[in-house]
Amino acid sequence: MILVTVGSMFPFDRLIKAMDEQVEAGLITDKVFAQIGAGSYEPRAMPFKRFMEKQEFEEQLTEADAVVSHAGIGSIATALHLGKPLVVLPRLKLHGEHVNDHQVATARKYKELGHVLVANSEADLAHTLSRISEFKPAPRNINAAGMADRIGRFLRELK
Amino acid sequence: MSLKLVVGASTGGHVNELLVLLTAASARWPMQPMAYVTTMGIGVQSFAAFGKPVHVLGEADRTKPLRTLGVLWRSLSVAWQLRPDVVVTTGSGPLAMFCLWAKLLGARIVWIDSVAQVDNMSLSGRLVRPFADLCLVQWPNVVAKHRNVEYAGELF
Repeated sequence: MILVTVGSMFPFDRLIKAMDEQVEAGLITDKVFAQIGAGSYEPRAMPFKRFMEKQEFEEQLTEADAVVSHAGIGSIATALHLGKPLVVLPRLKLHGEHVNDHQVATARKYKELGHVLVANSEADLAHTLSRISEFKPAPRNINAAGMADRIGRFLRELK
Repeated sequence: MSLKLVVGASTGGHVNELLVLLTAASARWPMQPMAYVTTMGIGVQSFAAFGKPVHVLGEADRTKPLRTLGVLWRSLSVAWQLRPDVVVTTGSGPLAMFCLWAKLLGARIVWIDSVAQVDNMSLSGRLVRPFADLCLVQWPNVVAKHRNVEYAGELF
């Protein structure tokens, strides 16, 4: 099963519409389930929900063989945490999908590090998904302790 | 009397980054926050478990000047009320305004630029950097592009 998520309450119709059309056209043959947020486009060819409680979302995610989402850090981190292969489509300012184009840079960076696959446009989703079965996401090592230690040192020096 | 620490972040991803930091910080910092600052009412619940006051600044960005004035005013009023000795924040714009007022009222500022900033510091980060007392970015390659910026780890 492929889980499609817009990652937040904000609409991302371009992603949802493209996935729906590519499912309908038979370009994507896996079972697909979508979380579409406040978008105005309602899918015809794939089951969807607008919002899910955290637990329900996590259950869907655990079930999923692959995930398709925007290039938000939260979505990327969640998929990586569960080792799920992820295809991202960056939100663009041009379409009013975000305040700026930082998701393009985020997508490129996480792709370089081997964490995600990137669809360069909505037309590219089915093609990118066709590569997902061979894609093993590189695990991401975070060092929150290192940052907390640095700030802790700063705070102790103030006393 | 220990120093008054206030932490804050914009509702959404910035709060998620701050929560990861606070989890790591609980055993690593000499004091814990006496208050929390965020930007939207729905963000208050993220800090409910700490049992300390949560202040809401409102949301603003470059495209909404009137709202920005409102946030500028509320960030002054919250900074005036709290009089923090130290502010630790993961951004974004409204928290930069809060940092500015807090700094003018004598606080030290720790700014952490978002992990979403993979190439360069954010606009708000670049505004705060000159007066921040500690400025951290989450990608080693970003350090080289700005003065007085450190990399010490990442939150996501």
